Amino acid sequence: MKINYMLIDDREIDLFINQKIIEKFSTESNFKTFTKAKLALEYLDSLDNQASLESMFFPDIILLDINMPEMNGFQFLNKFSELNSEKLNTIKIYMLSSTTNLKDIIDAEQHSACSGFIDKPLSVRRIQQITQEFVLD
Amino acid sequence: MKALKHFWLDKTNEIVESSKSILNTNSIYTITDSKGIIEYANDNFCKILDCNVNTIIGERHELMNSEFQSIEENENLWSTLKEGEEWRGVLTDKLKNGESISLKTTIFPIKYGNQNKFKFLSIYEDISKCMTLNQKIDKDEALYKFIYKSIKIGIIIVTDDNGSIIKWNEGAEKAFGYSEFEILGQHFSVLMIEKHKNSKISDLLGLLKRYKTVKKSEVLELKCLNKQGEEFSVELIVNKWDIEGKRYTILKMLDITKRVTFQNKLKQKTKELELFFYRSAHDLNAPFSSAQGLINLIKEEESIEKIQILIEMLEKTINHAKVFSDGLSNASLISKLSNELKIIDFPTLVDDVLKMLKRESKFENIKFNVDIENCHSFKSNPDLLLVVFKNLIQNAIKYSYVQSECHAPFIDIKVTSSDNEVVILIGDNGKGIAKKELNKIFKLYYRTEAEHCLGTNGLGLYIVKNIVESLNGKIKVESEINKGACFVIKIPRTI
Repeated sequence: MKINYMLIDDREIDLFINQKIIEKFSTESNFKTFTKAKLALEYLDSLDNQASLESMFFPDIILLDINMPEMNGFQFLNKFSELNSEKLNTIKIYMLSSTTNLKDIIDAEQHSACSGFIDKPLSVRRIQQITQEFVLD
Repeated sequence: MKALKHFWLDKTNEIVESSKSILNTNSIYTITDSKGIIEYANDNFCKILDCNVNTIIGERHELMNSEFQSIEENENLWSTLKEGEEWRGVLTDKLKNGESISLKTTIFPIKYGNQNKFKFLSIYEDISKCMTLNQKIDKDEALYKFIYKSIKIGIIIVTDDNGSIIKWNEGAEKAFGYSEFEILGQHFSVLMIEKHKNSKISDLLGLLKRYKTVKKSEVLELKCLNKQGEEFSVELIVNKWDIEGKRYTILKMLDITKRVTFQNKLKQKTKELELFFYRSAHDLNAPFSSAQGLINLIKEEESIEKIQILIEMLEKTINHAKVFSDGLSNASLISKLSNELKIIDFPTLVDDVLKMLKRESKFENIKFNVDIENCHSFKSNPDLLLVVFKNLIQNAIKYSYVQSECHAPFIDIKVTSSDNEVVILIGDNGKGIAKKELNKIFKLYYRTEAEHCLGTNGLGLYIVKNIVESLNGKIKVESEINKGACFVIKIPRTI
């Protein structure tokens, strides 16, 4: 099954690792990566205003880092919620972080725009689980 | 007559007899000769002075020569008497038990014989009780006045019923800047900020009451306005009292500006520390997670070339972690600021820093213009200054443009000195900082857009600023994109 993943992380190495892990279990996946949350948000906003989504990359799952300069993961989630778009509503956003801060984990789990929290480094088993959830939905 | 002692002078006897007919039994009196030697003292006198009549007859009258009288008073007494005039005044003495005695006294000179011979009849009234009471009130008043006047840290303002200021202590003068002369008669609301400008005393009391119920505090915290129009925070207590039908209000305040500034600074520092812990915990973890991820990939990778790439990435990740942990150890240096100051040898210090940074890429192609003035035994903390120089020069190197035909990268390192401060300048002709980012670069964990991919830890300039501030100095930056940046630090000399 073809899934579109959007990866947002300021650390390029992590973007690379995450993509490699995902590719391990589904070779047909498509990716779009951003090192800046703000640019990712602008992209999503442009999708929302697009009449036709054909030939556009439309993410099914977003893996979002928490700690990023300028706009962090939570700020991204808030701005994303503000877009309040039905079209974008189908996207599943997961927060992906190496944080050990319990508050971050709880905040992520409780944020209405966030589907869950994932520990770094991403494992094949966990991404499989998430993708299955998405497919079942 | 028991009070009578050994010898009787005719005249004394006469006087005593005639006195008895004039004075009643409650009277207190003595008769002395012209030199003040006691010839007669009645029972009441002996009782009051708590002495035996036998021991005082023939002695000098202590009251009339008392050491407790001032010299002027004593002279006045005798000169009056010698002229044959009667003397009135208060004589004081100390009793054996230590209590003082005050006698309202009238002394009549009584002339006898042909020559100018006198005897003195002294009639006393014991006013000790009333005197001590008065003295006590005087003393208390003086004491309270002194306390009230000398309270320089506390502000005490008394107003009348209308809120007009009628008393103004030194503390108030110091805090508000108005002299007593300027402020007396003015309404207390001139001291209040705009919000409370039209306040009456009753408003203050209302405010205090609300404060009491809401904050459970007897003390009101509010802002006042000094003569210069500057606001400052005070704690305020309001009391009212009535004297002879008139109502007065006393406002007692304590200037808490220092405390409030300190509290705010503490709040700010706590916030920074929280962020520091939060971000440090994350940033410490992040490279480990990346490394773990890379190792997972390496384990499952079969192609040697691909493994090679992954290992390079692993190396990069570890270097990144190293940069961060270096930053952390620098940060911990600030908190270890020792009070031991040493004379700073700037040329050696800069030399050491340049040696440390020799392995930075681009170092070789940069021209360093070092210009250090003799700083005349400037004392400071060498470890901290080293961190300052290292961070600023490292940044200048990092953001330099690569050498080319039309660009020769340079870094200026300048130290100048005056009587009261040392000025350190680190300038470059590198990439510069965007205007919108200039005021953010000193923030904890702030990374500029350009820094994003450079593997910086966001600690450097934060640490530099904190060090400079801990040395009571100031740091400023000027920059224009593509033209370079210039950091100027001024550190005052310590005494």
